[in-house]
Amino acid sequence: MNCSAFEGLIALYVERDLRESERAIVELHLQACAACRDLAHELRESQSIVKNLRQGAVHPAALTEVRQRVLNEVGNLEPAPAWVLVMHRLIFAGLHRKTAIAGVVLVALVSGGVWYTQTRVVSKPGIEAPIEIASVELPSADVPLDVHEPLVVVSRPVAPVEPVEVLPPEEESTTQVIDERAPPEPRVSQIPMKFVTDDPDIIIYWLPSDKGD
Amino acid sequence: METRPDISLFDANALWMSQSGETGEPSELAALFTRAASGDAAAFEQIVVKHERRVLTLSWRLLGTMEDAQDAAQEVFLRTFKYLHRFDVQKPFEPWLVRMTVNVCRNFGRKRQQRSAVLVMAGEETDRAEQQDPSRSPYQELHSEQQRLMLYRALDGLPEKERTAFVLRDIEGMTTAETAEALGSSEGTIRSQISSARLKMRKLLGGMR
Repeated sequence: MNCSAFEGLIALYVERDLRESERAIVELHLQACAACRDLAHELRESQSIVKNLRQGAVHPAALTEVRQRVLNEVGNLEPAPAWVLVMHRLIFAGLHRKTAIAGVVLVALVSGGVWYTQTRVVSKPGIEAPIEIASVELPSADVPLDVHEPLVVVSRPVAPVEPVEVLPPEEESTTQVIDERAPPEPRVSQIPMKFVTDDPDIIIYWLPSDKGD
Repeated sequence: METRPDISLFDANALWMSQSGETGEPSELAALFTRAASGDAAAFEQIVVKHERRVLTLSWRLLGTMEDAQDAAQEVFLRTFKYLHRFDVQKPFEPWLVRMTVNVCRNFGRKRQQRSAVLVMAGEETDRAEQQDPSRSPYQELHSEQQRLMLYRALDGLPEKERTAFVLRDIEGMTTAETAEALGSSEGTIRSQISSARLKMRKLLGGMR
């Protein structure tokens, strides 16, 4: 190591700012180098001149003037509101400011992570959710309903549907007019079912055939 | 002519203790700060009286002129009043105040446009800014005065960060760790800055030896 590399260390050495190991190295070099010994001597002299500034006092009049100016200004200032003081004490009570802020950030990160994870589980692709039917209107609780999976009944049972009334043909008409567009007369054995889904636009009707399929 | 405080009047250690020592029970100080933060002017005046010398002296050393130092000290105490509710009463007040003083003085230093004007102004302030020692001869006073002026010029020649670290460490007498905390730097950075500053000051003060 040449002398220029020691300059910075010597500047610290003269005020005992070096660690023990560094100090030993510098002292060893100073024993062998006259130029660096001169540098150390000059640094001690300049430091002693600088330290003259460490002592002394400003004039009391200067202090009084500052104090008066401050107190006059403070009289015109509003102190922090009481709720700010209380909130600050509550938030930072007994904690370093950085610790408190780090804690809040940590809680926010953990909460966000938990929320994100839960969201991802619910919407995991590849799993087909069963068709959910909001309600099923059953004609009667005694009638067995052959509803297979994946239909799931999720809501309340509702009142049974009134059986379809079969009206006899009107007596006044002498000629029976057969309207081909009219639906066939329902039979008592045919029990219609109505499935109401979550989507109000989708309603599923189940009309059994004559064989009861 | 701007001067530095007279070295023969005061013992350095005693002055340092009087400037930086926290007196009073911690609970009393906490109560005082709480009252001051709530707007109690009398409590705040006690804080000002206790710390005004330290703040004004540090500002003077950092800025070089008493006029700027007084403005800076006023700003420091107004900020103290404004932000006192943020201060943790369980910690020592001095480092917090020193940090604020350094920040205010940095802002003042940046705003100051003409450094040459500072030295001219400095020469007109001696009587008002410094306590004179009646026991010293006019020759001694003149010599001290010249030394101080040269020191100011030398300090003024340092980069801002080096000057601040140098003033806190070598003139204020703070430890490297305290200086690092006050400036928000690492101890390694402070060591590097004061090492560089000492070497520069050695050259700048060469004519005084």
